[in-house]
Amino acid sequence: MAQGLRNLREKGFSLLEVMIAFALFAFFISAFLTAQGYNVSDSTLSEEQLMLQQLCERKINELILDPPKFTNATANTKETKTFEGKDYENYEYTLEIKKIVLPDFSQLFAQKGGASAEGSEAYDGDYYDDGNKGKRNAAVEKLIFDELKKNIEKIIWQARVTVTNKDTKYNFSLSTFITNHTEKVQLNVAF
Amino acid sequence: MSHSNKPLRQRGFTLIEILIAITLLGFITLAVVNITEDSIRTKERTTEVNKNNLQIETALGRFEWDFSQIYSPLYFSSLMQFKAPGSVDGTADAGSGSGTASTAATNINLQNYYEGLVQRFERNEHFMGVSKEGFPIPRFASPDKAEFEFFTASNRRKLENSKQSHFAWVRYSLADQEEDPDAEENPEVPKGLKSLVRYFSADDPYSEKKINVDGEIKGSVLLRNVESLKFEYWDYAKRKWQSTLKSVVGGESVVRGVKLEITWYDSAGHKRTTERIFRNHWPMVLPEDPAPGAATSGTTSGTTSGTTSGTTSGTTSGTTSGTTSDDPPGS
Repeated sequence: MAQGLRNLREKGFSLLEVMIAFALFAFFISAFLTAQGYNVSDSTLSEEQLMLQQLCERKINELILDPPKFTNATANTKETKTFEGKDYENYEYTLEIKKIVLPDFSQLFAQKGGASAEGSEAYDGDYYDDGNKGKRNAAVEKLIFDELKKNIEKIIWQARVTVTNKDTKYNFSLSTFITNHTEKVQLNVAF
Repeated sequence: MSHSNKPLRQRGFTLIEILIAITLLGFITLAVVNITEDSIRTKERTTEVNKNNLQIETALGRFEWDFSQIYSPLYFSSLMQFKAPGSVDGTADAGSGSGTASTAATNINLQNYYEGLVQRFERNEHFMGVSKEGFPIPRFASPDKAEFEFFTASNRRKLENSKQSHFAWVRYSLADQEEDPDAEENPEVPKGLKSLVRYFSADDPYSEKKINVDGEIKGSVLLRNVESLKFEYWDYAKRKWQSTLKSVVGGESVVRGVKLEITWYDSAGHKRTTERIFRNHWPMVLPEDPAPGAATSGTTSGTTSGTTSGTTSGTTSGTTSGTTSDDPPGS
């Protein structure tokens, strides 16, 4: 009987138990709140990203439909402008235009054969040994490569559009190759 | 009996204890209610925002899919250089065959064949002639600023062996919307709005009749509560956006880009405007810039005689000028 009585008396919670309970409660609540916070920020972020992506795509499409004049003055330019329209005044875009620069044939060959083309053992006058296909005519390859290089550098240009939100500094960027329609392929290979 | 009195008395709480407990409980409940309410609100907000974005994205994604695969032989070829039937000139030469030394008999056969093709496709609502290879050239249409009908290669057969190709006619336009009984009435959304509808016909793409919107073809609603829709078409020659295809040089057969502007009300009753630019997948094989000299001389000589040898035929007729490449193989 005495045993049972003591048990009854001890049925209240101790301070420690209450504190553990509170700690658990606080832990779960804070976990819940952080998860919710992520939810909200993810949602706004995705909305923002959608907006940036759309603006970027629009600009790229505009650029491809209405390409600028490609001259030496346009090469390696970078300009930043703000979008027109009330809804977009927080967004600015940066348009970069670059030429494609290919390495010279001699540089490529030097990397393949060793220190320099003339100095390497594989180089044998006009011919060199590429290891698996036997002798190849370096002079002819150089001729073809130079023509290709000239045409590619003239006709194909690179462009990149980066759209930035001025307030949050979030940005999105797309790049593309643009064909210069005013130029034509010209091959002056004569054997 | 006497010993059980004491523990019983100690089991009760004092008034102070109860007051403290109730206040604490009150605070905790308040916090919990706040948190749940907050979370419900954010859930509603995010799902609504995401739902609205998803809706417009899906609708425009559908258009992008169709337009990116728009089809016309003039994207890669040119109009048949062919003397129109009934012309005074008897010695018509069928463009592509002119280079080879073929006999008169095969020439006549070929000519009859081409004439048949031209006659079939030349003057109807959906086609405007035949390309150099004999492919019919579809006629894209924009009867008003909120309607665009074009020929696309975006169809995919749903049933194996069904008599369909990947070609289809598709039309985007606005239509009166039916009341949606399930939708909640939002007082901020005005009455009398329209729906963005896509009409699609893949059954007989080479028929000469236009899509019959009122008849058998039922459009699928892409977006509800649309206030206005505007298509604009890119004119490469003039380097600007035009509001109708007819004003674009060669626009009825070749469209390079479309600007779409749509104003609609989302589920929260906010008015939203979305503007997009779409391109298709065709490479930009373009005529030379309307430069002085060459273009004008090409027009005069091209239209007057059937033998357009020597001159650029890029601008011979109004319909092809936007399309043919710099050096047509025929000339």
